[in-house]
Amino acid sequence: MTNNLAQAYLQQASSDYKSYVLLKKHKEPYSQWLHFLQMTMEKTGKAYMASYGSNIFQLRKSHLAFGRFLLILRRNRIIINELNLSILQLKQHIESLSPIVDKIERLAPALSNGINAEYPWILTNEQYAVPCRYSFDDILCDLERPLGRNMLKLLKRALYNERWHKAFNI
Amino acid sequence: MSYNINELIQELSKEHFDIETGLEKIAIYSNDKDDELRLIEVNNVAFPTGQVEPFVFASTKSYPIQIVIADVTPAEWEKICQGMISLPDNWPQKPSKVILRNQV
Repeated sequence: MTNNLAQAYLQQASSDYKSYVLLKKHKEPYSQWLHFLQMTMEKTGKAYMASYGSNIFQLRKSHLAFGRFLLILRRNRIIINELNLSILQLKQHIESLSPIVDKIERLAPALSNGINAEYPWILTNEQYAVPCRYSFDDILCDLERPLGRNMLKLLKRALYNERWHKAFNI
Repeated sequence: MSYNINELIQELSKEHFDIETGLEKIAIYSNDKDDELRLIEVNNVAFPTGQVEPFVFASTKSYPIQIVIADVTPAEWEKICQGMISLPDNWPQKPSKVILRNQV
């Protein structure tokens, strides 16, 4: 237990991240580990939003939390100094991540009318796509590129770097 | 499955240089006997963290060997060469090969 909401979200996000790594390592269907990656990002984003004063009820209703976290990240001078980047360089890095972050966040069923990592969706003529049999080519292609790895580096820092936590009073 | 690691390296290098315009060089940290391909990609769009952070990609039909890739910036690569940034524990201290863009 913890009395710190941001830490509570981070702890759960960290557990989701471990599940993502394990499922990917064991070559489970793409939908399964993408689902955990999406949940890791959502809860990590919410942890940082909690550090800015959002309460548990607001956070439960909010979506696209990791994208919103990136927006507050680029204004944090402690982080900018730690990364040894200029404000403009960090802004450019973060902007380059927007498309892949958005694609993964929209794997949450609440944000998707079709492709998602959890529930079947309608194709055409009463045919249904099943997430665990879907290829997710677009997202996988992005994740295997340097930008995808940049996003994962940033996510890991947000999850595990104590200096980042301190910078946001988590 | 049998494969020739040097051919895989050649193929993968060409593919990555073709796709990634910011990629300057690829340093290989595996040899013929290794069962995984470890590499550092020096890329001017890498997110700088001051560390070598490898990500693992499972074997596929195209690449029937596990591939481990770490992206670093050109400045971080200089520090790796000077021993100021350390490599992951089980990696050799020097690359077996460094491939430049004009060599593929």
